[in-house]
Amino acid sequence: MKLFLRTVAAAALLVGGPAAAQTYPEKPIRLIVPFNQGGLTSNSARVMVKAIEDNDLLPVPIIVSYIPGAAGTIGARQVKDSEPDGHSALIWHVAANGAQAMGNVDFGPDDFKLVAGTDRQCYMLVVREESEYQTLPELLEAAKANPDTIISADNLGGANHIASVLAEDSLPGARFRHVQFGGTAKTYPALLGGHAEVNATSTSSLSSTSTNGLRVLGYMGPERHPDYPDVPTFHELGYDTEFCMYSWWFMPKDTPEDRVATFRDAMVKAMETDYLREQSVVHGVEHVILTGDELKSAMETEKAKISAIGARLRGE
Amino acid sequence: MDAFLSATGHILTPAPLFWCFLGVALGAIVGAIPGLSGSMLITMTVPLTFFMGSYYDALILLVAMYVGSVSGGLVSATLLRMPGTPSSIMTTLDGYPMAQRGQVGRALGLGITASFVGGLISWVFLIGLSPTLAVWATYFGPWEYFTMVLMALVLIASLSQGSMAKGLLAGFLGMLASMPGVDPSTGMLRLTFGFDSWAGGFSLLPVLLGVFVVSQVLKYIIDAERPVLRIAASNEGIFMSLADWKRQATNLIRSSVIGTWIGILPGIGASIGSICAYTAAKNLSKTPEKFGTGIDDGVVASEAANNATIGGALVPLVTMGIPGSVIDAILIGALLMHNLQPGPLLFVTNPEVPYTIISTHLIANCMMLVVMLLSVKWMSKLILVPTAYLMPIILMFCLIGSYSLQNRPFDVWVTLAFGVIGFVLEKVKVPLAPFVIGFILAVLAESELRSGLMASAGSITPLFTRPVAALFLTVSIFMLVWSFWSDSRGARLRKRDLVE
Amino acid sequence: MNDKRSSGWFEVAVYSALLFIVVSIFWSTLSLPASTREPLGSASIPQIVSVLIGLLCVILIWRTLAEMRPAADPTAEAEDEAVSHRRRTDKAAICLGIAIAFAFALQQRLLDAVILTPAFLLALMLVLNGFRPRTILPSVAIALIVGITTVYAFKNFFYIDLP
Repeated sequence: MKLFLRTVAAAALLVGGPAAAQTYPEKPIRLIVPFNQGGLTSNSARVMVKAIEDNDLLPVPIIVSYIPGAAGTIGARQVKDSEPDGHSALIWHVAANGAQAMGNVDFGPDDFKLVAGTDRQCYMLVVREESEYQTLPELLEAAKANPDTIISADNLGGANHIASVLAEDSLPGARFRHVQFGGTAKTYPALLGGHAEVNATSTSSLSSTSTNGLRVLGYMGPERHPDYPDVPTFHELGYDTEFCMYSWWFMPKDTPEDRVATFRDAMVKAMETDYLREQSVVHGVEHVILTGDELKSAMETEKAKISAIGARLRGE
Repeated sequence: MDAFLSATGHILTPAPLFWCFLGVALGAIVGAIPGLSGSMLITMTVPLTFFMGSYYDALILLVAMYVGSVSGGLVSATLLRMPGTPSSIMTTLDGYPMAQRGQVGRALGLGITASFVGGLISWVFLIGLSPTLAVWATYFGPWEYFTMVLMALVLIASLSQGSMAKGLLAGFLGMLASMPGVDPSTGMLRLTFGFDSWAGGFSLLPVLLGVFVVSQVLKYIIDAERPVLRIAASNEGIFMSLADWKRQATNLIRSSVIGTWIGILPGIGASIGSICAYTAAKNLSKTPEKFGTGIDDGVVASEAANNATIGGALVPLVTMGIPGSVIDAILIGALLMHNLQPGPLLFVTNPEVPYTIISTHLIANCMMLVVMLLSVKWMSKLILVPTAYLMPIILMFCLIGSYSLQNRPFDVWVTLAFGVIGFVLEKVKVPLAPFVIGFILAVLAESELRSGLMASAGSITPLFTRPVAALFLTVSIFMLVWSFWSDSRGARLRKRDLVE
Repeated sequence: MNDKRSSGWFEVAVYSALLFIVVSIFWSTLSLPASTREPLGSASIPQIVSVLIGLLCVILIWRTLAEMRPAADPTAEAEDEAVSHRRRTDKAAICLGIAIAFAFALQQRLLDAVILTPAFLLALMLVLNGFRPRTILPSVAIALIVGITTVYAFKNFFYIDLP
């Protein structure tokens, strides 16, 4: 049906000829999601785009392209190198700092224009239901007693790797064996098939897949998550660990400030819609948009935290 | 079962039915035009499916094209003595002589009906085996996947036409071509030779468009002046009589089962299934000397088997994410691009996806029967479209299509480069199918092997201690040794024949 | 005979080129740093595959040369399909050249795609039809219609950023 409508639109354009206006935005904006569909980032992108389009906040459509791979660096590099005319944008998350901190790529958030930060959410640690580890302390003590034996399914350099490292750090001496599996589409089967024991995952990934058979051991947010009232936080269990992240929205570094502002304003307005408020609840993320100084300081905090982990991991 | 019914219900609504019809019809026409193949059509359609809104419709269209294209080949095999698609090569042996004798309608009718029965029987296997296999495959870990990919590569290298060494060379070249860019395990850049544009690697579609389409267009242009003998189609005797059904029943079932089984084996598809079934029918026949002179059994065996491979080939695709044929490899690429990870978990997380594929296979088969029976006369006129007009359009779609994937001129260069590479490789008789399978499976093989090694802290003992992995490994080694042995024996035999 | 000779040399040339490519790939992997987090590292698999390709190339070169030597081998010709028509390698080369020019123009954004694409189609069609007078008119018509429709569709309907 959509195809049909577009055909009609194309036919209409054929008759009417191209529009004459040459102001920003003059053509569709390409938003690159450097991950697979189904995770936090793709959900954030999808609902934001829908809100902007449904409310006509921008005169042009936003085309979402998924370019997954290597903790998002493939898609991100493409945006970094594209024309800084405001027609390409990127949504990324903590991996923007992670990939650079781990030495996987030689670029990071500083090589982009930061537009906004949205959708704060925190990670949690899961095992499969048949696992012998009933509670977080049991798991961490076991990882301390036999370091480097319990397999953690990670996307090396990605958010779940960082979260998993932070989780093991909460008990000094505990060490998982970090094995590359990839994103949620790969780590959940690895857990269910018994090829890995533990995985750090975001609340939205867990609630957006119909996969069951996983047990949540601990939540890495400041307080319990409303959707998982029975899951204790790391704080409650006596570990001083927290890992939450934002969706960062970027544009190429040399994009003119007024164009960035146009896009940002559309996002801020979209954020005020009821639709986005509802969707935040559905996806288990915090309904928030950071701009200005708030945005800068949040980014700086995250960068400091991640580069510390990166330095330690690289030193290993 | 619920998922199957709801998927079927979805397909039976107007829009999906239309896509299914379009796919079957386009597939049959393209399959019938010599020089154009199903792989070409499907590769060129994949970029367009991103604009279809729902990936179910995209899947329906692609699977229907697959079914249509394998069936359409029989028209040109019978009328022109040229296989419209490689999988109809055995049909030329008996279909064309039958047509020459004036039994045009009968030859076409037998082929079409056998195709339908082959598809139907393989579908029974597809729906019967897949859900069980998928449950079993959930327990596959890195080592199982790694050895299975190994097995697929060895199988396709050893069974595709040409020598084993060339098949392996093609497979490894495909693997190597997939390696520049970002390392799938750690995200480090490698083999980019300093070009930033290589950082994303060579994307699947530009490579496929090059290898399958551009190279074939070039080859076709070279041979465009090949003289064509043509027999006009007729509808006389197109419906099989009851006596025919009775006589061909065993042959139909045997050929379909052979085709299905060959299809299930990873990597190899319709052409080999058809050759095996034809050989079996000939060896078991009371009148083997009549094969090749226009015997019913030959047409039936070839066409039942080549259509049966489709259902068979879809089994490893939906259950394990391993391509059963080259077209499956393209379908996997399409699924990945629609952000669906093919594999056992698909039955759990998105059961509607595998069941959409399964029901489309059934419905497309039925549609194929009707469409082909009714339109074969008309189709036979289309197969001689002037290629001087067609080839430029195909080339244009390739180049603009690859550009449109990511708005990058780089992909256009990749398409052209792999077109030339594919052309040259085919010129020296290095088969292209292992190249493509290698290209697609290399990432899986490498990342699974490295995950396995990380999990076992560098030890390779799981290769031997995990039963399924050990089994796959044994099969691969056996196939490798066996085909090198028969390769050299074949060479010796040929030499002896020449001497005598 | 001559034909077989030249195709044999062509094969040897192809395998030698491949050999050269894998050697340079192997060489470029040597500078990749070893990974700290996993046993294999980025370089090992490309190295293994390059070595295997290299080995196969050597085997195939050796085989091809061996097959070329026994000159009294006229029956081997039968393996190739009998060529009864003229092979138009020249046309294929020209078409490839046109395609490369098209890709270059696309990259450099030399011309609007609405002009570029029909021109590309027309050039190919004329070459393939051998500039026969009665094919020129249909060629022009088809090139214009198909080219312009496609470009409009891709630009406005698929939102592709064509020049």
